[in-house]
Amino acid sequence: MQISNTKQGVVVIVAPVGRIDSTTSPALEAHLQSLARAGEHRVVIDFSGVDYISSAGLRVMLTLAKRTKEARGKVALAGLGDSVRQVFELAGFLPLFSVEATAEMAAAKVSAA
Amino acid sequence: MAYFVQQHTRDIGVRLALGGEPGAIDAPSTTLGHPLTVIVPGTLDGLAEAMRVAQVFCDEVDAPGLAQANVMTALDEVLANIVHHGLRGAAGTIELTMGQNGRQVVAHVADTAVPFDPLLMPLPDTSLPLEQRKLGGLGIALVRALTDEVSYERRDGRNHLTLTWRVGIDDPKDGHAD
Repeated sequence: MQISNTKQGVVVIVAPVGRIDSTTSPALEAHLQSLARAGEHRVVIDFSGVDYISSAGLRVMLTLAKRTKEARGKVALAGLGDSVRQVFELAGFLPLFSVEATAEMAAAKVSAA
Repeated sequence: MAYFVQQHTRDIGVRLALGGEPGAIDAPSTTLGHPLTVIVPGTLDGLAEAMRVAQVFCDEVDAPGLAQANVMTALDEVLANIVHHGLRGAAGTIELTMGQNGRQVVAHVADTAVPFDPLLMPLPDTSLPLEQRKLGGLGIALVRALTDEVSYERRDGRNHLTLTWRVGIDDPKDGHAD
């Protein structure tokens, strides 16, 4: 899976591309863990290049939310397409995350104290 | 369409079951049209291979984007469930058959794991706060939500799960070109 990072001020925007399922989720989890080890706790996940997410990916998102909360950081999600939004909604995950239309808006949210 | 499926089939090295040879597949081939079948080991590598075949099928029938995502997401849940919970590292096989029945996409998944009806799994509480959130059962809840029909049967020593999606694909049998 292709995953790109963009640093914007104190925020890192992570943009995975393709599908987030049981085959690709381990790579995304490893990627996010390495960011956490580097002290990056203000994170935006940009889903605009993601085709779909399964529960394996939701697990990665839940772990990210818990880890970030413990580190007093912030997470926001952006660019959710119909499929990704639907799965977050069905799983009851939307209330757990700050969800913005674009990565820039999400970054602004996460930058604020 | 069969021609293209066969091309892809050769490329990715899977067996094509056209019209249902006796005993070739457990799924009722008459309702599946020209099914695409793959048999993979019950491992994560096998799962990835089965997902590649499912993607080829979705591309072939040209299902709309959201419908494709629903098919692929539900299949990932079903296959991962077999690998992680059904087989738990034991050797086994998974047979996936993808077919089209009119405007429906039908997936039939048969596995050699211990008897397990995923439809009996309790649904997770999706209203708990972050700290208490558990994900057990979430995959199956998604399968139910993302399909139009799911049915389970234990037969011939295997678990058989049939998933159906009503998608807006054009039925080649309609024959009414605009």
